[in-house]
Amino acid sequence: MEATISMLLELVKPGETVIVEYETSYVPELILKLVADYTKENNVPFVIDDYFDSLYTLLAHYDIHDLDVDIGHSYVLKVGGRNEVGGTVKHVKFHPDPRVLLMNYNENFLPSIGTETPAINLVLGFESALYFVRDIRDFYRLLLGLQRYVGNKRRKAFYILHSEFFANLPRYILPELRRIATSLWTVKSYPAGISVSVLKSPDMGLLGRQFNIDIGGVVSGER
Amino acid sequence: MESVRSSTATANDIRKILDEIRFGSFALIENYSTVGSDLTLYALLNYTYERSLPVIVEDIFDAFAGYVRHFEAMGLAPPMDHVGVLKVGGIDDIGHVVYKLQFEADPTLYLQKKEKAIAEAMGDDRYAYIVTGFERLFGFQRDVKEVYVIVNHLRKNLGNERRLTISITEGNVIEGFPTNPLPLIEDVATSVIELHDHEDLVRLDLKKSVFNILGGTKKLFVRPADVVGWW
Repeated sequence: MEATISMLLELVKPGETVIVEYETSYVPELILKLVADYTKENNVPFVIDDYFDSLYTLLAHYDIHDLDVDIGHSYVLKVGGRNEVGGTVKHVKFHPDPRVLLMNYNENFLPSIGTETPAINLVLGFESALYFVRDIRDFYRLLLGLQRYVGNKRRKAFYILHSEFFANLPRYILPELRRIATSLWTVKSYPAGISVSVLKSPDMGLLGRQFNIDIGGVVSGER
Repeated sequence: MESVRSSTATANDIRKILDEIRFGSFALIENYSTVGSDLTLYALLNYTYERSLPVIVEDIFDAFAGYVRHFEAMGLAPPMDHVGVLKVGGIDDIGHVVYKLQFEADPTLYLQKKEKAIAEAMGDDRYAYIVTGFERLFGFQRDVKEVYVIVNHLRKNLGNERRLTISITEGNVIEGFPTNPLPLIEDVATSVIELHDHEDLVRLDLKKSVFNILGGTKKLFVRPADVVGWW
């Protein structure tokens, strides 16, 4: 069915961890724009976890096409990478040992979000962090650290994951991420927008449903 | 599809299946669906409560904690007063934790300590023993020899009249490990049920079973929204 980004984001409950899978396309760019506009217009705290310059890459694509995306109101937790972009940027030192990485992350995450409206937490480039996981023990340390955030009602988290990436990682990794998540979406782009299929949700009524979000006006600034 | 839809399972169908699981047996639930594990655990917690059957949950690496966090997001609060939790590794203590085991990669040590903890927690009661995160244990086994140690332990417990064992296992995870032991475990299991997504339904494939329900069918369709309404 036709939908708007506010409808879709409001179907997600505070505390949820949503895995959003896409294949090579402009899906991450489009999601960034939709969420940036939504959070700005509705005064929703906007937190971006930016692994290894992923956010910079998306913004560079907007620049090249002379398109605008305003993320001045965002709070960026920058993990690794060099190019600082976004509103308030906090550095989380990347460390290949997940115990250290999670400690660094936890110190920065809670202060970044307010206590009233749950924040929208967009996670970009998390796949890259998985490349640095040395063994299965480290992977589970990271996974269980992420699971501790599931149910934290101060945020709704969206992990934007390039699904083709996982073909090069041990096969249990993607199923484990899908398992700990409360929701699983696959997103495809089509000329006029994106379509979101709901494969997993705590709301049983949403299972198997598809939402199309028209995007033409959003990107060309005609809204 | 219409015929599938009109014949989705009822709460009584599920109760009948669960009634067939005997003490001393080992039921393996392999989940390949998105919400199947959450719903299975939800059904088991309610079913055992109805039957006044005490439960010990083995929570390997916070798998149970993860499912309970999902219940909260789903707005569900299954009964947990009859449930003791045995933690194996992990950092997230959810439920009534009766014992915490350090994770041991050596299965011989782990199995001994685990059995001792269960014996202390359950005394002389008959109980349901629900294992969550069983697959994760196998991710840490370096060779087939260690896998055999665990499988032999399962075999040894077949016929343990005080215990009804149900393992909720993530199929895609266990098949992703280098030592994929699934066929070995299936051979030891008394019954094997696979869960798959089927459009907006969950399909139960009774892969290995003595269940005789709905006229001997091997497949059963469940509407997830129904399950959360049954209790």
